[in-house]
Amino acid sequence: MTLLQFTLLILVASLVAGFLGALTGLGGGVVLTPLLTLVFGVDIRYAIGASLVAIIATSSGAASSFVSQGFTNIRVGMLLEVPTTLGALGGAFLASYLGADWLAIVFGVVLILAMLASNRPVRPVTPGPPDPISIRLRLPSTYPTSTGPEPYRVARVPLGASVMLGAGVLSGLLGIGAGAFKVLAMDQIMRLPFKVSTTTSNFMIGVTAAASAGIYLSRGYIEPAVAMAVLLGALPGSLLGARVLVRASSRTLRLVFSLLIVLVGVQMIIKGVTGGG
Amino acid sequence: MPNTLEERIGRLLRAMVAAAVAVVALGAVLYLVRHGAEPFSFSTFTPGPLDLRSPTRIVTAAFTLDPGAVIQFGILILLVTPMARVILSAVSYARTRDLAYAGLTTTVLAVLLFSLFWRN
Repeated sequence: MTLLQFTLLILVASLVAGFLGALTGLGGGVVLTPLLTLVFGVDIRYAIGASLVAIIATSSGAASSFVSQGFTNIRVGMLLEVPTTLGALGGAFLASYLGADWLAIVFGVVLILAMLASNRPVRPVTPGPPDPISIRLRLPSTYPTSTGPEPYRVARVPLGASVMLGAGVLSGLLGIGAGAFKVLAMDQIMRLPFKVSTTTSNFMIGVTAAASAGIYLSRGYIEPAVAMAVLLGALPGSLLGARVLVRASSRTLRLVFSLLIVLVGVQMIIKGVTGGG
Repeated sequence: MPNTLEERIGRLLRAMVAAAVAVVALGAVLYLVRHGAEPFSFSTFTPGPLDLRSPTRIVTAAFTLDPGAVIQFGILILLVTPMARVILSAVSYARTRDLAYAGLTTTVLAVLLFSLFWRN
């Protein structure tokens, strides 16, 4: 295979991955890295570098369009960017101490956990006791509903921030957005409404990813030939996927895609354990 | 923060992403013209030349139209895109005398700058 053929193959594969990731809301990053390592035999460090670049591109443009709909809690997002960026920086440093095999194993485990977190039943959040810190930082806000703006409170800020630090570490270690864990911290711990949690998570992903991308660049994880193909495929793919209207069948698609990702996670663990990475 | 500022930030971010993609696409064409017919291997990791890893050297090398450096230059535009949002927010918080948030956003900015310019 020549480089031209390789580039075109990666481009098309990334386009499909980005499309499915955006359509199902599970994120394209989770499948890009396994795709590159398992199918194309790319070293996992080049794969996570390229995938992180694609994540910054897809989230930076998309996040601002959610903000105008009025769901994103910018103050919560900016506050939690402190722990996620610090965590991402730590994760990026940690990545160079783990070999390719360990990275594959951790990636596989995190992939499976993320799918479990993304597919838990969404139940209405019962408001927790308001955290005094949240009042001082003016975090409580309102979100649009069919009956007008609905106010909500923000609970357990320090615990939420700690989980965010962990989400940041995973993002920096594995080159993923770690959106599933960010949403978990916001809706389950801080008791934000689900739609507020998902849009605020999207708002934070680009900034979090940028905190580890600089380290990736200096370590040589961002290989231009791999990154160009992934970026030029995944970005149009995810823009397209976000535009397709969400229909009832997308729930089935999401479940099928999740099961597929769990299988991919198992494959990554096997690859790491058998030393194929 | 007023919605209009958010809309302006959104437009700027989308413009920066578009510029980054255009530069990467240009670099990709140059890269494939020069190396497209060659065999390759990405199965073993090597850090690669410093011209493709240091922000300042990437910019210098990109102006000589080195294909790899042009791609990295486009990626560099992407890396500073989230930084632009953080800077604009920090300025806006400082203007409205929201000192706690001016401090928080400045901390995030410091982390991003450290990541980009840290060298081992």
